[in-house]
Amino acid sequence: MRGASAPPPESERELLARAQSLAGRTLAELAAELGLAVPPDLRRAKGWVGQLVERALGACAASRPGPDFAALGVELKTLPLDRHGRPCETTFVCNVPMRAVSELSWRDSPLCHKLARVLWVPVEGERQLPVGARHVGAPLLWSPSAEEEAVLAGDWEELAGIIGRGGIESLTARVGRAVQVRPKAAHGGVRRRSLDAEGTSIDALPRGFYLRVSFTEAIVRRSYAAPALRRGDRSTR
Amino acid sequence: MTEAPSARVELLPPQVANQIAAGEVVVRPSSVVKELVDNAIDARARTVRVEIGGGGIELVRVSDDGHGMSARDARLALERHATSKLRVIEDLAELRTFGFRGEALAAIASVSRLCLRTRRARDAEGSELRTEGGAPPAVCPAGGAPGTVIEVSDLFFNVPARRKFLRATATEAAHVGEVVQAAALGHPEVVFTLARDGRAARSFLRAETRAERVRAAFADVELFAFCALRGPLGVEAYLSAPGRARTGAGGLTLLVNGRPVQDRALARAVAVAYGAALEPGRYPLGVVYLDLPPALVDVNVHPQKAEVRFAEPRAVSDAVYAAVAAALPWAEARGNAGHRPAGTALRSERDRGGSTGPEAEPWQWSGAATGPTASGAPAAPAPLASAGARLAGEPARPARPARPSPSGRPAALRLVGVVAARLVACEAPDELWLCDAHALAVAERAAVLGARGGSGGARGAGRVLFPARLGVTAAVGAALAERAPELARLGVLCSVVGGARGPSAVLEARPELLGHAAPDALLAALVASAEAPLEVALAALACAATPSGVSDASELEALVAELGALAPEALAQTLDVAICRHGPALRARVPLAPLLDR
Repeated sequence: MRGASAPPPESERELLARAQSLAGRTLAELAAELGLAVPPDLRRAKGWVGQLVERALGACAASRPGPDFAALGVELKTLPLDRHGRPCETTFVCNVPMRAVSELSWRDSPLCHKLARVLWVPVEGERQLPVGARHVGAPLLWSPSAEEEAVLAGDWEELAGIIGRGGIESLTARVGRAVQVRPKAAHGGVRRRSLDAEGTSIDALPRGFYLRVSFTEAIVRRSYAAPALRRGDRSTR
Repeated sequence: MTEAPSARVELLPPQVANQIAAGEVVVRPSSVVKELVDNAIDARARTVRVEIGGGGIELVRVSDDGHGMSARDARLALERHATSKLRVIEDLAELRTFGFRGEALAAIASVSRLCLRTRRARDAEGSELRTEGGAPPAVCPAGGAPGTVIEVSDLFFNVPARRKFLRATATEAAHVGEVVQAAALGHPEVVFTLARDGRAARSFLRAETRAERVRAAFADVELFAFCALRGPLGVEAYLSAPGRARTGAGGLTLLVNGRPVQDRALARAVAVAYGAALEPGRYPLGVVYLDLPPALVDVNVHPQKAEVRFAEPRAVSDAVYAAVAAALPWAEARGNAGHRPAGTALRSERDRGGSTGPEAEPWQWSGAATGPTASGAPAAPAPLASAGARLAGEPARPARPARPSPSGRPAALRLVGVVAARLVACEAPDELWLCDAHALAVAERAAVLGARGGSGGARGAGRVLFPARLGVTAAVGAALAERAPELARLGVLCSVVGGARGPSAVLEARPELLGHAAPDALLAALVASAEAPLEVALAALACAATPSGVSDASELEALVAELGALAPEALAQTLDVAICRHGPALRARVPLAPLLDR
């Protein structure tokens, strides 16, 4: 993905203002401004929307392990939504640190660091909408509330405990109230070192932490007007 | 010198007094027809038959199927100042009957040979009274259908001087025809027939609406129909194109509360509203109905009741002018580019077959009482009285003289149902109002929006998930930016942002009240009304957020529930300002008395 990129914002306020200036615009408009081509679909360009918004906002692409806006400690998450305002998919947060997971407390966990401060940028995500015609929504600068953090921390303890005890292979996406662990790899052949239940080192499929749709949907519902979610109304009048 | 007996002051014999009164009341055969037809209508006739012979000079016979009279009442009816239509002078202020002076029959009887045959439905036999030149009548029992038949023959047989002033038979007959047509226009529910010299000349079948009756009366003229409401005054008009105008106002019938009147000022107001499209002195063909509370109009002005006096003649003329000017499609031709044609062409029956497009549905009402603004958005209606001053932020209206009675629009209305999936029916004590549900809800929501805006609701409750964005001109952008703080107080967050392609307006949040609307529609309404007054913008927003009833039954149900929750007084007030950006509201008033009395 080549093309121009905005300079990093110097404050949360600037970041938010920039994000707000994108609201209501189409991905094609953003791409044109940044000199990027719009892919015909996202099957072979997974992550294109996120990268486009990152560039438009000036996120440092090199800082993969840390937050997208390292200086501000803000993680950027685009959130594809359907016409009813429901997230179209789970939201990837970070990779599961296979070996270190059992040694990390919630506070030290990458999950906690990533979710401490998030700039949610809703994007129209219905598959039938051409990629370029999808609109960017109003941004939301978010930190988990005490209740949300308690749920997230509880999930971390449970999931990290299972992985730490060598249960990675038996861990399914059903475990966890807000967070789930699912395979996260470019293809099925990728392997990371992990431990089995006996403490033996094994090669396992890499996994990632994902936020469930129910969790992100609750954030959307709480932060935006419910009927406004009917984007499909655009053409009714 | 002794005083001559003739110089002494004496009370005139009743017969002479009647003849003198007849000089004012009975001018020609058509005045006889007018008085007798008025009586028939007041007797709640469903059918009125008028027969004339020799232009009405030889014979006028008016038969009705009304309630008839007893022998005593019939005898009294021929006395001067005998009437069943009022008892005390206060009744005059609330008069809903057409006769009231109690002198017409006596006056007619004094200058003609009169035969009155009447029977009440419950009586086994009727009575017949015959009198000549106002002499005491000869009474005898008579048979006949329920109702009254009055025959007036040899008009002015005893006043030869007056007879000399009568015109040719055909002219007098034509005047009778005009009187019958005017009465028919005022009473679409009554069947009228006119026979001349034994041959049927005109007939008006029973009509459901005024429009239907007008179509029957002006079968070969294309008329434009519209109605408007200004405070207590309702204007319903059917007017021809300027091309069909005539010299003099003879082809223009004015009816005040169903009573045909001659009013030069009103006729002038109609003609002036045509602007340059009409030469001076020419008037369109058609009918203008004015409906207003009886207390606001004095009918006891003219012996033949051909004129009335309005409590506020200027306001009535202004209202008629404004209604006509705003509604007629050739308004643009006289430079009023902002006026939107709102009239609907009415075609005669034979023209209608091939009509297409918007005119394919003639005989529909469209309101017209408002002056659109420069941006094309309609302004709030300007009521006759202060009844419509409701939208927040609306500047105070200049004080008007005190009114003799409150606004003609009822003080309270109760919602009773939905008609034709788009109208709501509201009930007042003696009338029914029909109004477009959409426009009524728009008025209500605009008022609520202006009054309390986006108050209430959790933080972020009004935030639009996908903000609407619309490119605007610099002028509109500046106007919107200037209005943004005001809108923000009402819960509408609208900003203007610059861009490579010029400024764009962005709608970021709106109050819960407008929650049903697509942000794009709201923003379009805001942009369209950016340079109009705030109340117009509020009405435009409310309109965008209010579904039109026809499209969705469940949404209409919700609207009706919303309106039904209003206090009766609030509903009545809302009716006064009902308007939306699609045009003024369709409104109609149905007086219940004529229906219930039947």
